[in-house]
Amino acid sequence: MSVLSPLRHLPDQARRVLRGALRWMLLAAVLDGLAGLALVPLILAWFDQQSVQPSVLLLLGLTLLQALVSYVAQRRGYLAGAGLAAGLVSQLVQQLPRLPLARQGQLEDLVRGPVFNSMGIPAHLLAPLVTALVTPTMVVLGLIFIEPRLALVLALAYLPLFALLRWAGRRSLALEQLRQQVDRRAGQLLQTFAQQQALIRSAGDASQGQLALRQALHEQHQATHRLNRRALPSGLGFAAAVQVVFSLVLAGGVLAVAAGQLSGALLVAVLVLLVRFIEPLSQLAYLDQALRMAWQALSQVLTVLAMPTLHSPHPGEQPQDASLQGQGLNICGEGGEQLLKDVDIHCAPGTFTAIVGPSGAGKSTLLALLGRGMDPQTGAVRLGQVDIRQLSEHTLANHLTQVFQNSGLFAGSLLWNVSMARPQATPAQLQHAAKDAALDEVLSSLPQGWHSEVGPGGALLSGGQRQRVGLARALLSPAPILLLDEPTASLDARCEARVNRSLQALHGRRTVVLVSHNPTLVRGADQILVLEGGSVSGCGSHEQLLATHRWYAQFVEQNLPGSH
Amino acid sequence: MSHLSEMLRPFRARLGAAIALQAVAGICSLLPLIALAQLADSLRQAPPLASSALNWVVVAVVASALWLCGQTLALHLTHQVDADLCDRLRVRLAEHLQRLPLGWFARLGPEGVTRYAEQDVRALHQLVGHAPTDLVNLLLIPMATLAYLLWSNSALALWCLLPLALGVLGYWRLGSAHYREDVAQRNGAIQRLFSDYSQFAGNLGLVRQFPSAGIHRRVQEAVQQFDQRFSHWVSRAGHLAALIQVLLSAPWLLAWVVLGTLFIDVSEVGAVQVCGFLLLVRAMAAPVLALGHGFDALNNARASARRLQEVLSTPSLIEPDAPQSPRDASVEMLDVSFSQGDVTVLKAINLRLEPGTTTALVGPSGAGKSTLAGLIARFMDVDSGHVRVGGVDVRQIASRQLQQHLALVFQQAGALRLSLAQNIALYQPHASEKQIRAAAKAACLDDWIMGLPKGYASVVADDVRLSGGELQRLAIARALLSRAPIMLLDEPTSATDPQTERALRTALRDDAAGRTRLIIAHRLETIAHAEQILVLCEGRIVQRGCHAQLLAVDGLYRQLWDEQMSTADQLEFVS
Repeated sequence: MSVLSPLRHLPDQARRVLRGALRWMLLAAVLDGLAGLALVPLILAWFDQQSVQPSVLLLLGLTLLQALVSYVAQRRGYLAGAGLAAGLVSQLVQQLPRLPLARQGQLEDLVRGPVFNSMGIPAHLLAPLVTALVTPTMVVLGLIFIEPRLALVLALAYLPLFALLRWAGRRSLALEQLRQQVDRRAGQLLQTFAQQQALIRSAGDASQGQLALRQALHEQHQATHRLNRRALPSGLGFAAAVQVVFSLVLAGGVLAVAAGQLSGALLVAVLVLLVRFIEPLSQLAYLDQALRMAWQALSQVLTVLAMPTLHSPHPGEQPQDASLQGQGLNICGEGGEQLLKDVDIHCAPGTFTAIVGPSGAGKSTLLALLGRGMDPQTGAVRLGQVDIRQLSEHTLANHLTQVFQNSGLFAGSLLWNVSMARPQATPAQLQHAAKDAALDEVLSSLPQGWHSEVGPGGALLSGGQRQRVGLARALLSPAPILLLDEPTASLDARCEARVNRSLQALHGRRTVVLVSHNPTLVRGADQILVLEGGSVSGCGSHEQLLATHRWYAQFVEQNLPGSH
Repeated sequence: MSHLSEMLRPFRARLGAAIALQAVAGICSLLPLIALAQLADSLRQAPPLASSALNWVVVAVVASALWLCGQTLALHLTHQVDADLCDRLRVRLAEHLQRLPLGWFARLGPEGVTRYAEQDVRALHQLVGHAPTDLVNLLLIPMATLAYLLWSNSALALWCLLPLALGVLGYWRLGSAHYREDVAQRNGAIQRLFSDYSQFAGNLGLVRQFPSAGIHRRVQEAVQQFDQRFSHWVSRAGHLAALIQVLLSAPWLLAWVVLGTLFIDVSEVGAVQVCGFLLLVRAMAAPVLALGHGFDALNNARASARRLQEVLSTPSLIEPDAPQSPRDASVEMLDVSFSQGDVTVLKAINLRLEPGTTTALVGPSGAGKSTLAGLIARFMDVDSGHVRVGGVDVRQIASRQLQQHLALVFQQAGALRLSLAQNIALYQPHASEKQIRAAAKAACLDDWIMGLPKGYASVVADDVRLSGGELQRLAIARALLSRAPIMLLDEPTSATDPQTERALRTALRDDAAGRTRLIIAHRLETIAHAEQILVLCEGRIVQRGCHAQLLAVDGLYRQLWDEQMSTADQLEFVS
């Protein structure tokens, strides 16, 4: 069934626990139905003044059994919920790093929202759902042996009720989702507003920025009211139908008894039974919405898990040296535009390659390809003479380190952030990396030194300090190949000079590929690649390009300190 | 609870009406069942039926209709109140957030702000939208049912109360201190998982490079800890919760009634009355079950209300009682000190910016330059000392006036979700299109904007995405257009293409006439022309003077200058 197809991607552990819980819930529901049926002979015996002993014993026995099974099922349900959440998160943690760069957006809320919403399914929603489906079926089946006409009537009443339930459920889900969207938008407006504080304060109270927020919030408010009004008819649709069915059966039954077609005692017994089995159905109406939303949440997570990932073999091949090559690289963006066209790049081991070019030329894309952030459409990247797609994830991580523009710090100590690259680093190695990255001044200015807290995303440090932490981390890493994207953009000239010296010192020891706007860094490279509009327009040393390449000469001249 | 009730005060009338309607609906939901119980006797006898039987049928039908209307209206009213409350809260939050010191935002991070803006306001929805009606059902229906059953047969009624009483006791125990620590640990593990995962998912590129280390390992540990803590909670509290569920379930309650009839002679009770019990006992129990779920929502809502109240009462920058106007375009700082947490960022700062002059602020990164600019703009209050704008202490200037007196171009340039024209005219809402375009042209943006499909009407984030360099140029255009007499510029051209940087610097310099400017820059040659240069190092001003004066002395400035010029020398210029 297409509805259940996302379940294919459910992790095995979660699936096992769910199946176990489901089995117990089914058993509990069957026993529930049987216990309900046992009421009929009991009520008939009472009305006819006959001996009730056997019926009472049957009822009590069935109920006790049902209680035990239901208890076990409940506990299993709670554990299955946690198992589902843990299984999904573990799977996400495994899969997500393998996604290509382009697909990596908007995954941060996946756990807080959808995963935890879907936890409710086994814990609270599955048992009532199973009961609501199984118990009435059992009751109708049992009634066939007692009074087939009533069984038919009940079966006929059951079907439109279910259809109505689905209609009302779908409608309220759609409306609820719209309401949540409105809610979320209002929340986002507020959040953006908070993030833009520095700007908005300068613009003053009566400015358009503040007004725009007020207006937007007002619109959201109106939308919520409209949604509330629209939800009125379907809000109680199902519960109303249940009441109608009950009243109809009551009225019809009374008339049938008055006409002598039905035994009064049997009508009472069946009505008691009806009330008994309508109850799980009304609970279902209440839970239906929650169930649909939880199911949607689960599907959302499973869709993410099903996304195609970058495949790496295991154990994979081993690179022969620390060279990096790209041959005939072609890649298109999401909108179909050509980002890189037939790009060739060769970096011998231990050399320093710089990539320059106007903004939007594709420099970061090229760097991403070299680091296997994505696979090209045609062409291949070779690390150590081996196609990078044949390397296992660990081999790649051991051989290549990348520094992104967003330096990527995590809430924790500075030490933890830097030592991520080499967990067994000695203090001497740490100091050395800090010195090379001009981080030592930062350390001496912070009262707690290495143990200073950096805040979420490194918020407690300035831009330049963050960048130096990222650099120190890359320099500490034992990987022989280093890819750097604008590593000194937030640094002042003095720190930049220090970093430049450290990078130059890596000659012969590590292969460095650098993207930069700064001719000072670029000048010392063994080869410089100029990218314009997605293709290579020049390649050579600084002196060669200065003499022959127009854009490069301009680039150097305009960024020379001291030239106005 | 006091926070919640305070927030709900303006909505008392509507909530009261909803509660009254729900009460009526609640009683009406019981009537069909009572009607059936009363009917059972006459049904037992052979036809014809008594006329009272048909009356009871009518009662049942009418009661159903009344229940439907009452319930619908009641829910509608509560949802309306909920929407109004959330809106009011958001507006209040917006107003208050505007006045909080910037350090508050940095400490929380974007995660923390999301919590307030979205989660907490939404948690209240569950409470305000459903709790009033649920509470009425919880109190009224069991009482009404109990009253009827007591009237019917008191002994059996009391017997039926036993499982319900046990259920209530069980839920009370679950919410008591005995389990509180387990719940707190469980919730703590959940929150840790959320924040670790969120950081993990935001930096997947890094995770790939350091597999099984750093954040990757941390999030794996968080999952394990969550699993552990949750299982522990289930083993401790879960059995009690499951037990209560079973105790209050339909089959158990019905069997309980039947058990009761064994002790009390059935003929005395009457089969009719037993049916009444069988029909109604569940109506007594259903609200008690809701108690279990409701508590969670109630606790969450209380916690959310408390957090929101905390934010709303966090001290903001205080507006002056008798605001004064700045007299001129000068800026002074007298013996100013400022620290963030335990780090002293600025110590004993003394400076004066003469009206109409350009002052440069230079120094190694992390020295406190951006913080200093932030103090002039009164983003935070100083710990000691005075900041004076136009001769008046900034704390005595109304914030709106101060904001109009200063134009800011800061490093973290941003744009609001408005059209580009509106963004540029943010400080000057009445500017003409010609003026806007002139400012954009000076900031080297006009060509680019005219190249967009919607031009100046393109809305940021919807129609167009701005890169770091474009955002900075937007900020410069904004500042150029404003007529504020004081301009604070923090690295205004750091993220721009080297090609356009020169044009921007020229534009800024041309505009300088008459304005007091403070420029923070790393590249010394860009500010060598300033009338005054202040050198900041580790939170103190170590040198001040003009370029020539500072070069003559062997100090930090000359060191920085030499460093920068020597890197220039390394670049041979071949003409």
